[in-house]
Amino acid sequence: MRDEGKISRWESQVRKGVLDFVVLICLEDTRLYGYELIIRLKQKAGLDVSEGTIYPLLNRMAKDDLVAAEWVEMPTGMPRKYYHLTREGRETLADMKIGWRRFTSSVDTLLEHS
Amino acid sequence: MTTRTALFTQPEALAIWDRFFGRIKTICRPLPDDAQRELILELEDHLYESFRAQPGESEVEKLAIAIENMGDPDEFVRPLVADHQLAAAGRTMDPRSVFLGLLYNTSRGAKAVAASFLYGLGYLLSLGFLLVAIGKPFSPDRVGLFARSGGGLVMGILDQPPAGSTELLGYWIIPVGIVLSVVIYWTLTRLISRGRSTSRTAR
Repeated sequence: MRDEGKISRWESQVRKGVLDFVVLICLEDTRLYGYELIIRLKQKAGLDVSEGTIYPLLNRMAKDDLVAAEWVEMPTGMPRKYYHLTREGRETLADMKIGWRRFTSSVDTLLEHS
Repeated sequence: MTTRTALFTQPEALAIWDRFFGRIKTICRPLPDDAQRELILELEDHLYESFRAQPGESEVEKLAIAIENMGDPDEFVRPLVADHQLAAAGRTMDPRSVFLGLLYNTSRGAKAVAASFLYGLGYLLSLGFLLVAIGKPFSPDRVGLFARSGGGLVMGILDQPPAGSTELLGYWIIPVGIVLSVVIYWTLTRLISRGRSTSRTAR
């Protein structure tokens, strides 16, 4: 009998592993604020992350100079923090894309021959 | 009360909101005032957006769902505080930042607890060398680096030096102890400030 829990845990580990990559992809063409980024991760990438945990991740990416943040005043007068890719973030993303394609291609090759 | 909370019409919803952010404020208290303010503003923005996006009429129910989706503040605020303290420790070498950084870092799980424990042992070693350096002038016969007659070395503040042992460094133990203490402290602190990682949770 198939262990659904095992598959679910494996999928969860895979998702955790690509979270940085997916966040960089989401920020590639636009700036986003935290909640908007979470919605995009859920809707476009199918990543159901615990919403609060995006902030330590964004904080680390900012410290690594992959993303930068700016406060923008909304029409309501409340400030909102937007994140965008830095130059280093774009270069890292370009390298990650190459690595990702290489990786998925090698796994696909394995699957075809299995 | 923030501008966002002024939009609640149900007092229970406001109480839930205040309780949630009260907890966050308690956890992020070690952060500098500016960092605390920015973090809370950002999380308020997130929670309010999430609250508004929930279907239904009841503010209490919508807010409860939004809080559940956001997760446990221990899981996302403590790692932020840990990262901030460890980065500050790397810049200032402040022992308080080191201690708080290691303490808050334990929220990241078993691996982080083990890492914090090992770093803690390293800092104890650094403290030990410093205490040896400080203790030497007060008790020159019991503090130092002793060579046992049968072989082997013992360093520290001893009740009784091993019988027949010879003290090797004399008062040189003071600069040696201070240098070793500083080198270990500095190295560990640079390591933890560079090696900080961030909690990520995918469900």
